[in-house]
Amino acid sequence: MVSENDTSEKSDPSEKEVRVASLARRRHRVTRSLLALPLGWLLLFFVIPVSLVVAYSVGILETFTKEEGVSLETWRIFLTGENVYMLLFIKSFRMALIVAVVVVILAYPIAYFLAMIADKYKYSLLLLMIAPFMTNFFMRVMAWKVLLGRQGVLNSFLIWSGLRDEGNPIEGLAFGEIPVMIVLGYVWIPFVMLPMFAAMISMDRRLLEAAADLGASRWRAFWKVTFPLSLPGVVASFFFVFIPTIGEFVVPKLVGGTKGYMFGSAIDDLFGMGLDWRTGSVLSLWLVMAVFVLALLFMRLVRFGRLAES
Amino acid sequence: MIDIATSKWAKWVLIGIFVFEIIFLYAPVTLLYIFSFNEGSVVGFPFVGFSLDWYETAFTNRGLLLSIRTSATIALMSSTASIVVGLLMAIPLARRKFKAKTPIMALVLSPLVVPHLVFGVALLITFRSVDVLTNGVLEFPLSLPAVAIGHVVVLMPLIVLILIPRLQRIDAHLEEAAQDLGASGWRTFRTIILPLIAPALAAAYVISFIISFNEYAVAVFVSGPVTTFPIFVLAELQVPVRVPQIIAISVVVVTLSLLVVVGAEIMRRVFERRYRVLSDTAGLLGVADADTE
Repeated sequence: MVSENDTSEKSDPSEKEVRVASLARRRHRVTRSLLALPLGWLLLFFVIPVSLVVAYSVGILETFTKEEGVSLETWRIFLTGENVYMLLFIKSFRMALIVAVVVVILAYPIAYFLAMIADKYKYSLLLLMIAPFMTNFFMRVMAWKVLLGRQGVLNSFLIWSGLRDEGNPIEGLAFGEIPVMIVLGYVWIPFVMLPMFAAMISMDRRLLEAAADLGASRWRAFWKVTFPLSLPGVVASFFFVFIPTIGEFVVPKLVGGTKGYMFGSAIDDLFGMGLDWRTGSVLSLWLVMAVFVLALLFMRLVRFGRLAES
Repeated sequence: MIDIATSKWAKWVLIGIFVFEIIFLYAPVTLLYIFSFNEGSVVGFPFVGFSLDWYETAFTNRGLLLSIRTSATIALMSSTASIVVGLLMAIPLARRKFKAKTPIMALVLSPLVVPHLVFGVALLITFRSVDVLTNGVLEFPLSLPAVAIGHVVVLMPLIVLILIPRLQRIDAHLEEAAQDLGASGWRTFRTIILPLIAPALAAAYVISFIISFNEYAVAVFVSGPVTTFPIFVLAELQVPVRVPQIIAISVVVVTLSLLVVVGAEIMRRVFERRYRVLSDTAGLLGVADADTE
C-alpha cells in the first residue's frame, strides 16, 4: 500500500492521465458487469413475460390446444363492446378515479401538516401513520371484511346497542361498490402521503420568504408557491393509488359481492378458473395501456420528469 | 416558512384533520385486536367473553402454520435475491455516469406501473409456455421458486429507490481517495460503501421481506399447488367459522412485523445520527425521500 502511494506521488502528469483513463475504462467494464445480472433478470422475468401476454392476446402463443389461431378477433370483440368487459373497465376506471382523487384530497393536508408544521416530530408522526400499515395488506382489508356486511361488527353493534331495529341493518354497510371504494381508500391513505410529503419537504423554503417579502398574504403564498411545487408529488400520489386500484381484485372478492365486481376480478377469473386466457390477456394489456397513457398524459401536464430524474 | 402553515387556526385545523385520520386508520385494526380475544365464534357484537382459545386454535392449525412457513421461505429467498440484484443495479445508477442510464432507470422502475395482477398473469403464461415452446422437453413447475422469482421483480424497483438516495449522499471523494490509495474496486465497496449503506440495506431487507410475505396477486397465479400465507388467509376468510382464528394469527403477524419495522427504523436513525456522513434528514426507511433531491 505504502509503496504504491509513493509511486503515484512521484509519477509525472502524463502517466497519471493514463492511469485515470485506464481507471475510467475499468469502471466502465465494472459498471457493465454489475448491471448484467439485474438487467438479465428483468429481461427474462419481466420484459419477456409481458411480451408473451401480447403474443397470447393475438394467438401467436397458445398453451391450450383448442384455440383459434392468429387473429385480432379477441381484441375486436373487446374493443367493440361485444362482451361485458369494456363496460366493466369503464366502471372500474370510474371507481379508481374516485378513490384516487378522494384519497389524495384526504392525504394532502396530512402531508402538508407533517412537512410544514410538525417540525422535529415529523418523522415520528410519519412512522405512527405508516408503520402499522406497511405490515399487512390483509390485516387492513380483513378489518373491513369483519366490520362491513349485514351481520358485520358495525351493523351488529348498531342493533345490539339499540340504535337500529333487529332485521333492519344499514344496507350501505353491506357489500357492494361503495364498501370496495371505502376499503381501498382506507388501504392507501397512509402511503399516498409519501410522495407529496417528499415534494413539500424538498422544496426551497426561501421562495416562501421571498413571497412574503414581496407582500403576498399567507393564502397567496400557499397557492402561488407551496401548492404548485407540491404538484409533482400530488401526481405521483395519484398514480400510487390509481394503478393498484384499477387492477384490484382482492378487495372486491372480500367486500364487493356481485355489485363490487371489477375489471381486475374479471382478469382473475379468466385466468384463475382457466376459462379464457386469451381474453384475459387482452384485458390485462388493456389495463397496462390505460395506466401508461394516463401516466404520459399527466407527465406532460405537470413537469414530472424533473422529479423522476433526480 | 410564511404560508398558511404559520397561521394559528390553520395549524389547529390541520392537527384536527391529522388526529381524525389517525383514528380512522387505527380504529378498524384495533377492533381486530379486541375481537381476537372474544370468546364467541361470530365476529360481532355483543362481546361474549375474554378467551385465548382462538390463539390456541390458530397455533394448532397445521395448514395455517405450514402456509406461514411457506411464505417465510419465499420471503427469505426473494428478499435476499432482490437485495443483491437491487444493490448491483443501484450502485451504477447512483454513482456512475453512462449513456444508457435513463432508459435503464425507466426499465427498472417499470414494474411499478404494471399492476401486480397483470404481472402475475404474465408470469403464469411464461412459466406455462416454457413447456409448450420446448415441446414438453422442459417444464417449469409452478411452486415456491416461481413465486420468489416474481417477487424479486416486484421488489427490485423498491430497493433501488431506497438505496439510490443513500448511495448518492456518500461523498465521491471517499471513494476516489480509497482508489488513489490503491484499493481495488471490491475493497472500496467493502470498506467504504457497504458500511455506510448498511442501515439502508437492512431497512430495505426488512421491507422486502414483509412485502413478499404478504404478497398475494403474483403468488396466487404462479404458486401452483403451494399455499402461501395470504392465499391461505383469503381462502379461510370465506368460511365464517374460521374467521376468528385468522384474526388471531393476523394479530400476531402484524404485531411481530410492527416491532421489526419500528425497531429497524430506530436502529437506522441511531446509526445515521452517529455517522453524520449521511444526511440526518433521511426520511422514514428511506422511502419518504426516495424521490427528493
